[in-house]
Amino acid sequence: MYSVCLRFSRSRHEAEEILQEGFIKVFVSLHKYRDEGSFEGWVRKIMINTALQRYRSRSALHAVVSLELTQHHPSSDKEEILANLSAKELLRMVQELPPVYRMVFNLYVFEGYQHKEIASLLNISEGTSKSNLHDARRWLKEKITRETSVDNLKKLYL
Amino acid sequence: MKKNLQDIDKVFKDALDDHLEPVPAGVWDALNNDLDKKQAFHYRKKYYRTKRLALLLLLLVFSGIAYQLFVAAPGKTNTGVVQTQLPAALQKNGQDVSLPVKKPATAKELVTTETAPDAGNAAVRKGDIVAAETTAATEKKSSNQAKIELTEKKAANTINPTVARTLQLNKPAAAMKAQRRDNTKRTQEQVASLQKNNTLQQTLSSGKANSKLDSKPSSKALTLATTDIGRDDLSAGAIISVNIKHTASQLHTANGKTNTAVIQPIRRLVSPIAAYQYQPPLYLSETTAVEVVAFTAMPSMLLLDNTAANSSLQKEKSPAETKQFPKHPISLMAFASPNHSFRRLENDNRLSGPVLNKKLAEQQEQQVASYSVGLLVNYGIGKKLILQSGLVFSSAKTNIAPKTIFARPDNSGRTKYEFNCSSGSSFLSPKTGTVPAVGDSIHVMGSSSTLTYIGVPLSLNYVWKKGKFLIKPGIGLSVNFLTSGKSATSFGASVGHQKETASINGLKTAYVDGSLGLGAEFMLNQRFSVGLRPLLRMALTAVNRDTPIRTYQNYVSLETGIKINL
Repeated sequence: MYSVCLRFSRSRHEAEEILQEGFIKVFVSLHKYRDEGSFEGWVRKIMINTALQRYRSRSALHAVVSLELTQHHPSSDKEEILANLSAKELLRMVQELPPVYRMVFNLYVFEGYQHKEIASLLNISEGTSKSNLHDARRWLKEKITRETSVDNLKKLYL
Repeated sequence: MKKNLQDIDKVFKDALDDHLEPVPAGVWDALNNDLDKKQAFHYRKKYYRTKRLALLLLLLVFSGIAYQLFVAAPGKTNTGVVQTQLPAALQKNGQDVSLPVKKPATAKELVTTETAPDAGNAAVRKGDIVAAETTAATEKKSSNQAKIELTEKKAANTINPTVARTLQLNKPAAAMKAQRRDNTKRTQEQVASLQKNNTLQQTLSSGKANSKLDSKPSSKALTLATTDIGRDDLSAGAIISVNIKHTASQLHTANGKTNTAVIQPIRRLVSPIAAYQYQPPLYLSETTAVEVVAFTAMPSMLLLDNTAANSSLQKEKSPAETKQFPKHPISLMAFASPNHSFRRLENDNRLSGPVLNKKLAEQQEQQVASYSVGLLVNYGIGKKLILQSGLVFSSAKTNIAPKTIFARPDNSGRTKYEFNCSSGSSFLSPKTGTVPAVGDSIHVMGSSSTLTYIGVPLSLNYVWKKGKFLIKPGIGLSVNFLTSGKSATSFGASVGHQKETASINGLKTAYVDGSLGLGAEFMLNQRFSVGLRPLLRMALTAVNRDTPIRTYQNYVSLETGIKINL
């Protein structure tokens, strides 16, 4: 569950808060759990809802996204570069996504939600959800490319 | 790899789906603490409700006790005396005979009298207190029977009320002045004698008392007890307070006839206390012992004659007087009051956060102007209780410090700036020329929220009358219906100093508060009164729901108004 929280949050500290808040809800609502699905799935859903609730309540604090900061970098041996990227680094990249992109990307890629459901959860339109997912993917690709390029350059010159 | 990058979803899913991160140990400790806090909050909340309920019950119990003590009890106390009726035959052709003060009174002979104020005038007005003469034969029989009955019943039926009486003397001032010292001395001796014998029962059950009763041919003796009467008081009247030690069984003879002296109802009361304790008509028998405990000339109190009477006198009052104190008065009261409003804030566990919480709201918000106006209907449900209801319009305004607000989608999906305050939230769309995106921010210069309610109070007031003043402590409940909840927000120079008003979301349509007040009224005349009432209104339920903060709106009011008796 902590990994789930990490993906939905900007930092470890925030992930801990979500985990804590989510588990309190689990304990408080334990009597509401019915054996209709796996317990893990029920807890996971609570965690995701907690993260989304937090996102919604703090949406005012989210920075406006600017994709212009990212630039294309020439890629070298991408397969090798990708192999060098650890799960932690990929997790960090997800965390660095702008909040609305992070939410859409997590819900779509990891949780398997459809755009219609995502739109409903985040109070946005379906088109916005698709657009945000597209932007998130592009943002991540560029991030990977840039970081691997820097790593390669470091390897080459150091 | 290029293919990998094109399928970026898979790259991340494969890498992170099974990725596990160890949870820091501190998280579990914090979780434990948080759970404890939640539990504590739950119990505290539960305790709040219990406290409110206990307070309400306590007030009700106090009201009940007060009612029993001050409304129901006095009537019961004097019942034994009041209910004793005498045959009309004992009066001479419906006329009373007054007896002058002529000899020292014995315990059984001492009664109070009221005669015409004219000096030397032996004629007695209706309502004067007299002693009726009875035949010696009847007297003897009854005295013997009284002896038997009293011996049997003794103290069981003893009633010992304190009654205040007004006396007017029928002797010239000069004569009374001369006799004053003698009377004072005599009265003191009588009191001492009575105290020595303790009670009438003891006196009558003794052989000495019996012999007195037997040997006495008539119960006509009537003695006025006086102590100290001022010169002016002789014509104006004076007050005497007496203790009557009375046994009901004394009033009946063996053959069923009453053997008593008849004392006409005393009509003139001079103080609220006297009025309160008075139970007309009062008949005193020859076997009634009257103990003079106080006698004070109080001419100034005579002025209160007409205002000090209580409802027990209504039967004897003239219709005009009775109208002044109707049994079940209905009256209307219009009032206005400035309020000092204050709130109790509680965090909502689910929704409160860094954007808005109790601490932040207390720092940013300050309640300013508040007022109430209303029309209340009073309905008397007893001698001393009034039920009050009506309509009260209340308004409370809160100033909010400048802050930055952010854009987010509203319920309809349109992105607007959300303005949060302790009452709730409202969505604003200043004319900036562009539609805000989620997360956009704008600075708010000054803002305020105004809540208005129409309340329907229901309160129970106890009435304590003091001359022309009425003191009315009371408790009650009020259901307040929301009429308007709006926020007025001023934007900064960035959007050209705009001011926008919007409805506040999250307010409940009604909330309940409890009230505690102490009203004071001054009767201008029979129809109009002016009143002042400090009132505390404490909210029992929050004014909002599903908001980061639950707000309980309280008031301290000073209601000022005018009352019209219908």
